[in-house]
Amino acid sequence: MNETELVALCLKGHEGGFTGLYNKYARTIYNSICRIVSHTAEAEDILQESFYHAFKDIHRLQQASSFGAWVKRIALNRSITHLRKQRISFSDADLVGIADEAHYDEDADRLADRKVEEVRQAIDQLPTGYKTILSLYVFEEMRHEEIASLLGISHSTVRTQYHRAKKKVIQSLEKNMLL
Amino acid sequence: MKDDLKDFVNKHRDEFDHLDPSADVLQRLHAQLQTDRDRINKNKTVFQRLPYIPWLAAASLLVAVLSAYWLFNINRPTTDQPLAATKLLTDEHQPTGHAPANTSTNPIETEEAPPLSPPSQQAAAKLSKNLHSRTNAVLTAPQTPSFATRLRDSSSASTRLAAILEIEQNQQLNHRSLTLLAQTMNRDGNTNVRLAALDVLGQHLDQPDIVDIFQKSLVEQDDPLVQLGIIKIVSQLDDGEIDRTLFSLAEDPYTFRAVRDEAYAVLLKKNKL
Repeated sequence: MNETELVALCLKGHEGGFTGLYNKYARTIYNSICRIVSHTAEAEDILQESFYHAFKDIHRLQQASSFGAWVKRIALNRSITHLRKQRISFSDADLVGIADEAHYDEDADRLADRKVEEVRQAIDQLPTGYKTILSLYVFEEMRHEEIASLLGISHSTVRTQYHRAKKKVIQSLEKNMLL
Repeated sequence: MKDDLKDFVNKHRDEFDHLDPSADVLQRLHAQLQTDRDRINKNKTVFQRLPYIPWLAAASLLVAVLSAYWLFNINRPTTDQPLAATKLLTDEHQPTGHAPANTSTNPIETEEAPPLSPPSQQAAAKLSKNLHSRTNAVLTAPQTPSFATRLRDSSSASTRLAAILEIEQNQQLNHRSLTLLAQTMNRDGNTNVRLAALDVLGQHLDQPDIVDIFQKSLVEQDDPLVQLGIIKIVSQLDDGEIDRTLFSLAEDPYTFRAVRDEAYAVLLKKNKL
């Protein structure tokens, strides 16, 4: 059953429609949330609330085929709101302590032979602000302008912080390799 | 610009989505949705649960508005216009100084002109003039239904009451008025209208036919309240036929108990038992 048919079932109040859409998108969206909100229980709460609000307002969905993108956007917005409630800031001022480090070559391809687990751990070790921007740009494929609008910071800040985040990931990987 | 991190993630995207939400999330979500549905159903108004109710309400409102409009239009002429017409007629007759048997101000008589007995040519001319002026007065007054028509207006008790009031204000009752009032007293569907007719008839006990009307009504009357009213009025009369009718009412086991008691009390008071 495709997404449009599942949405049609939801609109008729059929349980199967809700379950089908949840099973189709829950895993992807949950991982997106977890990359921003590290706490598993909180991530599950956000996942539940995101699907609940999406199902409650499903009659507002203009294109049934875009349900996945819609609910993911709800989840990302809620994740960012959750971070804001924890007083996590995305501005440069909160990240000035993390200085650029030397020996970073932008053009070098140092990730080709890395394992996914190593990269994942390197990303997880990032400060929350960097990790959020990197996740939104790399995993959610949002443009810098979109991220800037979502986080309420400038476009240049997003760009700067992303590059710093990426540099930290690569430096972390290089450090682990040396060890 | 080349972004090796982004390329790496795109290449291994599925492997990065390694976490699974617990099964509890779906169960909690279902429970939340069910609770929400229950609450919505509970909060639904009668209008939402019974979608045809608004149509019924709209139809009722329409009927009410139309009824009010119709009643307003029915009542308006009976309250103002006939009185105005009567006043015109009486005003025109006052200066002549003739009081008159045949020139009664009763509008009923204006509708059915009584036969003229020509005692003399002068009188006939005067009568003709009077009739002409009355006709003009009636023509200048707004057209109103006759008393008979209004007394038979089964849709509006207030119209019938207004007609009875006008008859009462005319002071003089002719045979036709008496007949109409008697019919109303005996057959009207509304007790108040019957009692109003009875009240007017009770003010004209000097009329020759009145005893006969009350006697017949005592027999025909099916409204105990009106029967009681008639008994109260006829108790003032000393008529053998009335007494016999009262006696038969008092003896009739099917007579309403209060009526029977009243008839019996009247007869006792008259020492006719």
